[in-house]
Amino acid sequence: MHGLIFAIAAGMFALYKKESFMNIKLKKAFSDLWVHPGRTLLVIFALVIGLWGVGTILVSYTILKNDLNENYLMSKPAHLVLTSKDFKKKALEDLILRPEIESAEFREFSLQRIEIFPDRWIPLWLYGVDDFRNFEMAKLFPEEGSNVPSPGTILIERNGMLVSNIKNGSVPEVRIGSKTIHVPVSGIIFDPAQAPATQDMFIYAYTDRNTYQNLTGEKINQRIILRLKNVSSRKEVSAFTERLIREFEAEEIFIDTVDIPKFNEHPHQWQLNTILSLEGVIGFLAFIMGMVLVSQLMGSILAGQIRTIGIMKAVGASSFAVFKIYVLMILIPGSISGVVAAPLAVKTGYAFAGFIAGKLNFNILTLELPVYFYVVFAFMAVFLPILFSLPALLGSVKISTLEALNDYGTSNELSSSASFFKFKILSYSSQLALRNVLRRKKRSAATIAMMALGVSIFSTGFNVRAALSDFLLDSRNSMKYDVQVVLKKQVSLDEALLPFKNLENVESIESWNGGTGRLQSKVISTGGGIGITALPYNSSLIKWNVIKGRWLNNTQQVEFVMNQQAAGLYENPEIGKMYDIHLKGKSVSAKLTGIVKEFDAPKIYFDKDVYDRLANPDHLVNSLLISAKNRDYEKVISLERNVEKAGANSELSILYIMSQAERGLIIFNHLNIILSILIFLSLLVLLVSALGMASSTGINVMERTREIGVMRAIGATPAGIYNLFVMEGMVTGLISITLGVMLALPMSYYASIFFGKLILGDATRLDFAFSFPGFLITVLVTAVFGFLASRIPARRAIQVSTREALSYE
Amino acid sequence: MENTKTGQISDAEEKSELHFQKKLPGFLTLKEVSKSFQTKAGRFDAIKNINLSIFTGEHVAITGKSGSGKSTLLNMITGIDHPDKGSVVINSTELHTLNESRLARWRGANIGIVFQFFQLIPTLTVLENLLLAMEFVNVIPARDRRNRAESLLEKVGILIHKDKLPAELSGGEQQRAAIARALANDPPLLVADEPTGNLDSRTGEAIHKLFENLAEKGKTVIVVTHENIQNLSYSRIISLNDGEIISDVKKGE
Repeated sequence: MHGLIFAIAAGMFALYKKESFMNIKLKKAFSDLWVHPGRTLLVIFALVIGLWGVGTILVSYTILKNDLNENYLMSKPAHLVLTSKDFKKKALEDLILRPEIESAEFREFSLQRIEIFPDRWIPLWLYGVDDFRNFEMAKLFPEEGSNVPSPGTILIERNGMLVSNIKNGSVPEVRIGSKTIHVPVSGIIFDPAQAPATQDMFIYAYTDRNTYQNLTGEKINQRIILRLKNVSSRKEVSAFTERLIREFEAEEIFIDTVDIPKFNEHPHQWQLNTILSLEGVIGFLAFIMGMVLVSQLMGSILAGQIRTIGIMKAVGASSFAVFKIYVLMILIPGSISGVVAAPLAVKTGYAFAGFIAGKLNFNILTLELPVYFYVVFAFMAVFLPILFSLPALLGSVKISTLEALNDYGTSNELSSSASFFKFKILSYSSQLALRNVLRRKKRSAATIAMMALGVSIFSTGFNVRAALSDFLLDSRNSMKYDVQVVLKKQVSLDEALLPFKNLENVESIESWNGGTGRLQSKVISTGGGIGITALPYNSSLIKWNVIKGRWLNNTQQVEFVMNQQAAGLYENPEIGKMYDIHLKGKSVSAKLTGIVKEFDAPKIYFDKDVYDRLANPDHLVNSLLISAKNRDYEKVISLERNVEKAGANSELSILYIMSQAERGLIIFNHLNIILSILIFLSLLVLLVSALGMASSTGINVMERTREIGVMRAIGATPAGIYNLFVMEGMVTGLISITLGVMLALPMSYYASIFFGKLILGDATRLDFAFSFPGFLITVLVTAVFGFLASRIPARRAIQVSTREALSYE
Repeated sequence: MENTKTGQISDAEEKSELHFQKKLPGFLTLKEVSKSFQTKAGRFDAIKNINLSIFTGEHVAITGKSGSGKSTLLNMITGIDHPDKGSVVINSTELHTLNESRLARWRGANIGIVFQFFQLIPTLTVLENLLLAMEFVNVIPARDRRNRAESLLEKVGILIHKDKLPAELSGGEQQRAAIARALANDPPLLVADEPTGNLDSRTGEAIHKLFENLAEKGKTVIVVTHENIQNLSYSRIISLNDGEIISDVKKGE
């Protein structure tokens, strides 16, 4: 395709050189562009930048839109995961025979812990796989080393290598229950269905089911993954699941957990969707701004051609003939820009998509861009500049011969602007600068609008970032404990506290309980059932941001609170309504009292006493919340390591130990990629708008070359002229910043709502936040861009000699 | 010739219309033509009730002081501007019946215009300026255009400059090029607005000589000038003052 583009370009050049083939109108179009090479280059540059930016976004969008999900789908993901202690091999054999089921297998799973660096442990998701040689679903793809783990070894998901020092051949320590063992890594695989380890801070490991049983000591045949035939939605999977569970119960097989992943959707698709939305919105704005810029430039070129149009009409050219010449004139830079920008856009688009793919742990599968990309790109390069230049073009060619012949480049817009700025305190040159800003009102308005839009998007980027940071800070501040220990099994309070009683720097330890349950919502919950946390309603360790209703306030009523992610599983959950919840095999009816804001999996909260009465008669606990006396970062990390060691030396089977600092980091990792791209794309828009300002000033300089000559002739110094243009730029910049920052306020408000819903779920809105550092950076960056944008053309203005300037036409 | 359905004329129709008109004897009639402009100082009557007929082969000078209405009259004749009142008929064509685009093509075929400041297209070579004019009007067959352009340039004595841009030529050479361009489509009428106003007297004389030759060969030539024209060989001199014809003298009268 690139070859074709170059062939077209070469063909055009050959035609230009070979006069016999060269239509005289085309020659004129070329010559008009060639007569002011600087201005033509500016048009091409503006088009290349615009096309490059938009093309990059288009390329990466084309790749990303499909590739994450294609990666996910090529693994043939499971539609349903069931766990039960009552499964037997026969249950699986019966399932496989059912006509609704495409494939089913036992895929064991448990959470263990693995040492990723000395004394640094994170959760290990350990899977027991039935047959590595013959995957029918939830496929794994070999990357390095063995693709079938030899007995006693594990395969590690490739993304885990980015968060640890584990490699193929390593022998990391794995803590299983209260024992620590060394497990060799015999290969690296790619599991496209997993969330990236870099964000979730998990390591995924896979072994055969015998090794799994030997390592964990757990029973096997307790977890079945299924893939259904002829289903097209999660709803259909849910309906089948409800039927299946009833049938199992009839056979006295009681299902403990049900997990229906989002249908045919990668767990981190939401991140990609956010990025794609950002790309779409900002790309569109950048594109519009680029096109406004092109239309401005073309407008200015056409303004300089009015007399020529008059001459052509006088010697017999119809309006249509003139129109064709200038359409050709726009086609030429459009085609050249397309030829230059297309390969750049493809390169950077792939690079950007590769960056995102790396962050989200998937492979780029789109190796050839679809033909429609090139068609859209060619259309953008060739026809859109014409479309956007059409008003100026039609205005120019429709002008009467008489008006055209009498055009001396002066504007009718001049008269009214002079009276606006009569400030006695300003020098005449300053007043001139102010008046010049309004000299070409439409152009100035377009420049200011473009710059203000750039400023507002840039500023909005910072404000949304601040809103997300505030949200994270809220989340962090709402947790008043420093280290959390979560146990795999529930134990008595004394047993749980024993290893940690004498640790240094411990202020207090509070115990919570929890587990997973099943909500009787329209859609069965994800993640192995909904997370349930039972804590003292008046716990001082947690302070929720309640977005609807109220927090728990007593130990008597069977009430619960859900986070907004859980609320998202319902369609409009009602405060005060009774909901059925499955807790440890029995159904409980509880009243929803409130919804809290939390960046986590779907969770519900009960008062601990209420929960104990409902489902925990022995008052067991499985979570300890430790508050530090000294809460400095280093001291908390040191406490976490001591807790880790104390846990390792105890009989406790620990699921994970995590400090709040780490939790904050994990949450930040999830959002950081989006925030970074938001700022990057906002900067791109600001750059395009600064370019717009530079070209607008450039056009002003060109149009006023003769005037510069007159000023020089009557005594203006080069410095004086230079200052005049820089001052004009600064006035434009100042007005743009003021308007842009004002516009950023409502934009930030709505963008916060939009991104809050996209990132945190439908029930959550981010509160508007004003980023003062962002404001300062915006002002500073815009001022620098504005200064540069006026300085470069201003320098050119003073390089022209008085004689040249006076003779300029 | 006009397509009553669309108000447009096809290329073929327009071409035949152009050729048909060129076969008629060249003459020009202005009937009670007036034109006024609105200025800040009030209404300004540029030309008032002008009646004028010019015949084929006449070499006419229109003279008058600055502001007398010469250029406005010329704009009426060329169709570059429209009269407020009255009509202009050239070669049996009433100019006010043509829309802007048809008028442009008609003008290209029937009137050659020479401007005071030459008005060559600066980005095209001298030869290309002629070729473009022919391409716009499309009455000279494409295969003949180059030869015709070169022969015209030879006639006006600047063939050696054919591949130069206008800016590389002297004022006199540029005006010769402009005359060659005006003749590119072989129009029966040639109109020149102060063609020597920007030239030195020797070059000016040579340009006048060129016009004289053209008139002798059957072209109708109208030259607007405010110069002393006593020594020039115009067949008719029309003087304007305050927008009115104050004298109209034919040679020998």
